Amino acid sequence: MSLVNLNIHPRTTAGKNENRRTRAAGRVPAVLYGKGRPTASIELEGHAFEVALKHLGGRSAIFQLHQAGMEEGHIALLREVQRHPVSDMILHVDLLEIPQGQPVVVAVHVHVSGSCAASKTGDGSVVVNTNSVEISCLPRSLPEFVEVDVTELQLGDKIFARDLKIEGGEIVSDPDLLILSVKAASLFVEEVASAEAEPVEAAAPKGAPAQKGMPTPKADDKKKADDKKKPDDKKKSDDKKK
Amino acid sequence: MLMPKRTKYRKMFKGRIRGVATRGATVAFGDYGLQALGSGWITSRQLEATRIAITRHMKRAGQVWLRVYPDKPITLKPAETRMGKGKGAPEYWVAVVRPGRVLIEINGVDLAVAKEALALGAAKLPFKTRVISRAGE
Repeated sequence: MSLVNLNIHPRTTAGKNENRRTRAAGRVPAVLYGKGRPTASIELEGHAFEVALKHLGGRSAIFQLHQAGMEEGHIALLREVQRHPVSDMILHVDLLEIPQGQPVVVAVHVHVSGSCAASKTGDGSVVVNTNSVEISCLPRSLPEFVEVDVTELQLGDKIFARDLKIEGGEIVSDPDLLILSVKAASLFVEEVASAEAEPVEAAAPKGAPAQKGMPTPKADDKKKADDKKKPDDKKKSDDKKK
Repeated sequence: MLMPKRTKYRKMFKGRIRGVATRGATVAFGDYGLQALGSGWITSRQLEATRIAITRHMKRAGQVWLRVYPDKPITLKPAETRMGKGKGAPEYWVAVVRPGRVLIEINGVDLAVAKEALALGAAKLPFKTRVISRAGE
């Protein structure tokens, strides 16, 4: 994987309001930490970082850090990107500085490619259990993703972490970790068939009560409700008598 | 339709929906998700209609996860009833949704099928939504 250049600037301010002003100015508050170095508050150029994230390797990219006054040769990995849930704006970034010549342990995404025979005929579908695996390798040979080809798989086949092959690295995750499996689609057939017959009632979950409207309140609640009503009823009857 | 098996209390305050979803705002189980852009209540009927629309379009492929659950009882007073005499009877169940909340997730289908299925499902919902995919891919 190639290195992505990233300009960083030291950040002296902290706190909610200052960070809000930083974002309004088109920069992103971030933090840089690593083994054997003090944690530093920094800020990134917002647009450049967004481009790097989208087009230049994504979340598993390695960033070559450039800062005025800092010697060259520092590289870092993305540890976390916090985004606003609605506007999708980047709120904060965590960067982990890594040593150049030593292996690092990184979680890499698993990409599923191709389609198996079972999913083509509609007899089954590929169910992905784990979306990422931890691998250990040198920063230079860190793959963007681990590809799993499911073209040859048959119904009932499973792929475990030990079946994955990574050039220049090794899997750190549990070898028996299930990555994906090809499962029969019988569940979906039943669901569709029943849903077509009775669109609303048949689709109710197994555990739900059979009645249509609200569930009846608990017996205790009923008693309480009755107790509350009784004094009122008595009063009304007394008033009528008078 | 979805509803709790048992509840501690029969009736609940109406409440107000403020802010955005800070939890359940990312795709966690599937490959694609339907994210709410507005706030409101989703009734159990709407949720069921959404699920059926999506599963029918996906036919026999893939999986569906519902990320919201209608656990809030809504009461109504009977028609032509004078005000007072206590709170009405529970009539239906809703899920409270804030902007950013992922409502439904799917996987096992390609992007085109997923978009079409989620758009069909989104038509059953009372606010705007968008299709999002798993972060980092």
